Amino acid sequence: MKNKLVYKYIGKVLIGFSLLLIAPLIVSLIYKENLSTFIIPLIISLVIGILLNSIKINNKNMYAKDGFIIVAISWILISIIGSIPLMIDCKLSFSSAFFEAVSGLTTTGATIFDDVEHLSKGILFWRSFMHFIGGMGVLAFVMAIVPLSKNDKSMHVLKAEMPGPSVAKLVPSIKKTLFYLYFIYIGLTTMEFILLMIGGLNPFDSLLIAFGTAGTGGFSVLNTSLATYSVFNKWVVAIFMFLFGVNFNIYFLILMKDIKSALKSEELKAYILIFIISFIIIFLNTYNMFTNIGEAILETSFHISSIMTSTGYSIGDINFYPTSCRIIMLALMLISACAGSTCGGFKVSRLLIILKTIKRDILKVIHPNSVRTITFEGKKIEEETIKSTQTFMFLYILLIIFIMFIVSFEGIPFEQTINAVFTTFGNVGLCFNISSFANFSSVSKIVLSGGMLLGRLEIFPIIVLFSDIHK
Amino acid sequence: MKIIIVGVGKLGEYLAKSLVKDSNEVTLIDTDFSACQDVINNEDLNYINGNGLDSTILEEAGIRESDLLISVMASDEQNVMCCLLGKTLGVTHTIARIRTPEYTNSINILKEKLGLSMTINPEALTAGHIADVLNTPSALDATTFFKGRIRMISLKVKENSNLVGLTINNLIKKLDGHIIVCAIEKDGEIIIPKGNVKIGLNDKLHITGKQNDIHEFLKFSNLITSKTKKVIISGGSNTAIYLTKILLDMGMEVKLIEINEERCRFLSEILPKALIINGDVSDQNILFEEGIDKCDAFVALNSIDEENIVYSMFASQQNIPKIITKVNHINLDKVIDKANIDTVITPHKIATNQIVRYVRAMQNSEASSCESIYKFDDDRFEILEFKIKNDFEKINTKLKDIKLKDGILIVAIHRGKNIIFPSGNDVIVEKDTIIVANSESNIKDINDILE
Repeated sequence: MKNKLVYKYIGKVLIGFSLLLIAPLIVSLIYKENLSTFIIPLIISLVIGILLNSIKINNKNMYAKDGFIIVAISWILISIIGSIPLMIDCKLSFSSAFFEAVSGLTTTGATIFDDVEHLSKGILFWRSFMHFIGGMGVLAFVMAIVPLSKNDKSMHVLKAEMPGPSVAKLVPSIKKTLFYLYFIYIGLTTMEFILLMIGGLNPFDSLLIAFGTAGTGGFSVLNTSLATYSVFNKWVVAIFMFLFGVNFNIYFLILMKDIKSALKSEELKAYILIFIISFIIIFLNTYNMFTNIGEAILETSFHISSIMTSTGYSIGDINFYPTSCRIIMLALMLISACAGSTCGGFKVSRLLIILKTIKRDILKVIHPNSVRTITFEGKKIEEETIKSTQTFMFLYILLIIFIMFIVSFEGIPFEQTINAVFTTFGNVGLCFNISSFANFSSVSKIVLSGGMLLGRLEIFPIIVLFSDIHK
Repeated sequence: MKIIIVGVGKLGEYLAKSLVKDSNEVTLIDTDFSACQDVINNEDLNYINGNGLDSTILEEAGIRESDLLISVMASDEQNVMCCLLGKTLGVTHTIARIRTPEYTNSINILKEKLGLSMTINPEALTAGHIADVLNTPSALDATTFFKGRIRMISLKVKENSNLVGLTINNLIKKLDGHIIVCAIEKDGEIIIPKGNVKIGLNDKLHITGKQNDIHEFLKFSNLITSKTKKVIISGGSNTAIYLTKILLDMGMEVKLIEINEERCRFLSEILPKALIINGDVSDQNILFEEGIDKCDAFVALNSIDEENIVYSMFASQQNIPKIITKVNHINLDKVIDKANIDTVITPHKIATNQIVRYVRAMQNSEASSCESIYKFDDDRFEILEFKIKNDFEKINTKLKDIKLKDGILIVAIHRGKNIIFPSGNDVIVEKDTIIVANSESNIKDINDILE
């Protein structure tokens, strides 16, 4: 990494991150808890950030590669710094704290705590707050709040961090795009927060659950997740999880009063269709296990939207689901929701592109001379995008198998191994027959953390980082 | 401001970069996605793949909310149609590139009917610029401000010059303070100089002053060369036609060398006063036959950059006092710096400067914002013109009491009919126009120059 600009940029990100640590500090202050929990990482982040930022640079050009490297290193550093409060306050080992922090920032929501109810308020807040900042992307968050100099080519960074096959800017400038995205993000979060309070939840828990839903994370404040909440609140969370799985561009179009084009979105239609089909299958399989139909509808739709949007909240025992439902749920974990949302996973838009390519290739066998362009959302998809989508899919499967192989040494049953890897790689966090990852070995925790980062950053940044170190 | 640019060629790309740098919201429209990769990936702008003549594409780009539509597609007809379409859809200002020489008059007639705010002809602008430079042959580059009342020239300090070793203060004293050194480029770095900076060999100076004072300066520094009389132009492009016309009007003698016989016939038809030679410039015999060693200036206007550079290098070996080279690819700048060619002209840079000036003027409504802007040396140094209004914080304060940012210099004040080259005791009052040299920061508003 010869480009010193990379370090300088990471310095800026760390300074921005240290500002974010003020929020849990305030919470600790309010509840009169140990302040050093957050002051220490804040100072570490600030000092490293200032040191890196003071590096003198002569080359001001940033290339696509640098964007990937900045994103990869920033996420790893931020995860390490984010794990410090957990190490200080909960006396966790590094691997456990790192797993928990990565799980928070990548909005996975898989936890290593068997009992979350005894955790301090500061730590509870920090876990959910990590979901909130990780959901839209830590660097995007920093870019939105830290003033960057005029010549910063931040587009590369945004491209590397934003999920989805291609970045669609809402408006020409990055700053304004981020402004609209955060307006939508914070707006929806606030709406959910208020609705949860109306539903009878106390403000602290409402805020945390709203954070967890917004980032599609899944850390909860009770050991039973959301099972004991009121029916109204369960519906609120179910609906908002589904809403946060929708591409934010759609909300932008609605904001611009262009509802017609918003409803035309192929991805949105496919997302809703997948939801409805899964709902019908799972509902027909399980409705007779519930005492009444209302409960069955609520639980089925809650769990589908929780898994599909990679959130990972639950409102009941998920271990009773028969195998057929579990297969559907595993598939949903893989596919996940729309690009341009806060979800993890493969994304509906990629699935659509791959399906269309398959259709074209079959047509090509039947009519060898046929020519067909693939369109998505009414626009031609470049061959390059198709190729990179295919490469992404292949890498996705390959890495899942690789991580499964390493986790297999834990000696847990086959199904749980598969499930644990799917749930972390897809940033879901919900897992059949596993309630916490506390019993996993340190190696597995680190590998699964790596899987979460790979899944959240969509593989390429991390791979680019490691292939660049060799050179 | 919201700006839509249709057509991403060399001009479109450079224009987009400059306008984004100027904090505008730019949306590009082009049909060739792969050709636009570079600018899409590196600049903070939006890109829409499609035909700019398709109204749905223009609407998608947000034509209704946009302030300006710039059409720079390959053909003039497309550009005119695009602007007409944009105007009908609701954009307030339109700029079209129109470069066919035969259309010049027709466009002047149609401009209002078509709703064009401005037309841009890079070839004609380039020709005008070259003529400007040929007028002051010892300068590398020449620009005029305040409607031609003061000039800025750029020149390189050569070995036999009296300037070597002088400090700026001494130089100004010797010339009774009528000129101002705006910027010095030393070893590739641009500085806005203070009085104690010494001028060294091979430094590049940017100097402003009135026409006569510049002449005095050139006389003093041993740089004065005789007036340009004989010019050889290589390549019979449209630029060459415009240039030849201007030079002939200025009373110069022009030889135009073109390789294509048919084109030569055409040239001889429209340029009866010029000497048209059908030949290959790469053949040195032709050049000697036409007296390259006796001419005052050589202008390379062929379509291929590399040819222009090689011919200019050859011309520089023949000790021609003034050599001007047209280069389309900006990326070659660094190579040329080393190749001992003094004046390099890039048409789309000149066209872009013109458009950026127009855009700045559009923004300038109430506040004392920048009226026009001229960029030099790879955009590393710029000259800005401000009209002073009552929002300037330091009105009626003596200049020596105003703290300016580093890299900023007030070059001249235009008050009524007078031009003042300011000293510490001068003040700026309302309704002045001032010129500011800037090498560092992004200046949009007059108050940005203050510390």
